[in-house]
Amino acid sequence: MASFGEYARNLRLERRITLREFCRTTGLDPSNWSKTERGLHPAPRTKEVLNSVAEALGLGNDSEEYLTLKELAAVSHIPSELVDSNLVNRLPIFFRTIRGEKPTTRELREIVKILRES
Amino acid sequence: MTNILPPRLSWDHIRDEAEKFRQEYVRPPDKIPVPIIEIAEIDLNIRINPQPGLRHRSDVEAFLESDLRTLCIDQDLYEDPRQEKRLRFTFAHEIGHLILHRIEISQIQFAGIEEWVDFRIKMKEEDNRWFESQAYEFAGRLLVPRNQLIDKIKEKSDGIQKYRDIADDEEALKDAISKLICDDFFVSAAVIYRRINAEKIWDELSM
Repeated sequence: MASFGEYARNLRLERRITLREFCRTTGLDPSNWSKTERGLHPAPRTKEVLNSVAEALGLGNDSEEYLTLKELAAVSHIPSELVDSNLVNRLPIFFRTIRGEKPTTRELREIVKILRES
Repeated sequence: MTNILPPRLSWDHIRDEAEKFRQEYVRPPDKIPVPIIEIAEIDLNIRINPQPGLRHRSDVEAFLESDLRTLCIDQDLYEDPRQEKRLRFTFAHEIGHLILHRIEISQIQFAGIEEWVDFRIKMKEEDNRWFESQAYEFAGRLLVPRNQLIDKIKEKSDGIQKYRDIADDEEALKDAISKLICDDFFVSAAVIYRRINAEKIWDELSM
């Protein structure tokens, strides 16, 4: 069975709604919601947030999708092993920088920290 | 393997790749502006990972994680409507890496973080520049296709002639035209200016 994040993301993509558009509609923070969809941040627990998510996705109150979403939110948890296990596989090869130069060692270490936090 | 060399790609090859991409993902293929953010996330299934402070902390505004599935992007850039044109080009640039450098990225593996830092520090400036300029070229050709660029310039031919009647500064004219048509492609005027030069169409257009 899909996780809450996976399920919510699939519903969003099926409706061709980008993360940015979705977060503008719901008022959710895109960084946090991206983590929720990737299973790195808990599913929302409050009815208000779940309702606004459902509304942005166009789900009716009694729809099967909304009921599934609520059930998945209720059972969601974050496996602690996910937090750092794949970091090395995520390290980027190329960067789009502002000054158009290669990042320094200090900046590279910042990127590692940022990825670890994300 | 912890060393990679930029592939020898001709500009024609990059143009063909951009054209193939447009045929596959842009509906209709000659549509401008190209809805690149939507295509990246929805059609290519790339996960977007907006990060607060990425630019400020690392000078980096975006990168494709090496799993090739996630695009990490500065959150300010992602959310600020005033930076939309830059954001769109950034997406196209990173997709350029995905399309042109997928094999090179997939072949490389790191035993740990220190090996990755060492790899990036030792990467030759010239090699890095090649990789980046190829992705840059792909982005330009994707967002500003040659034919549509010519059409948009031709639409301004009356204004061009009026300007030529009173002044003789082709560079200033190119700059002015870039500013006039950049919104049609939803990219910056600087991108249009470089595309005009890259395609060498200015002299061809005997207006």
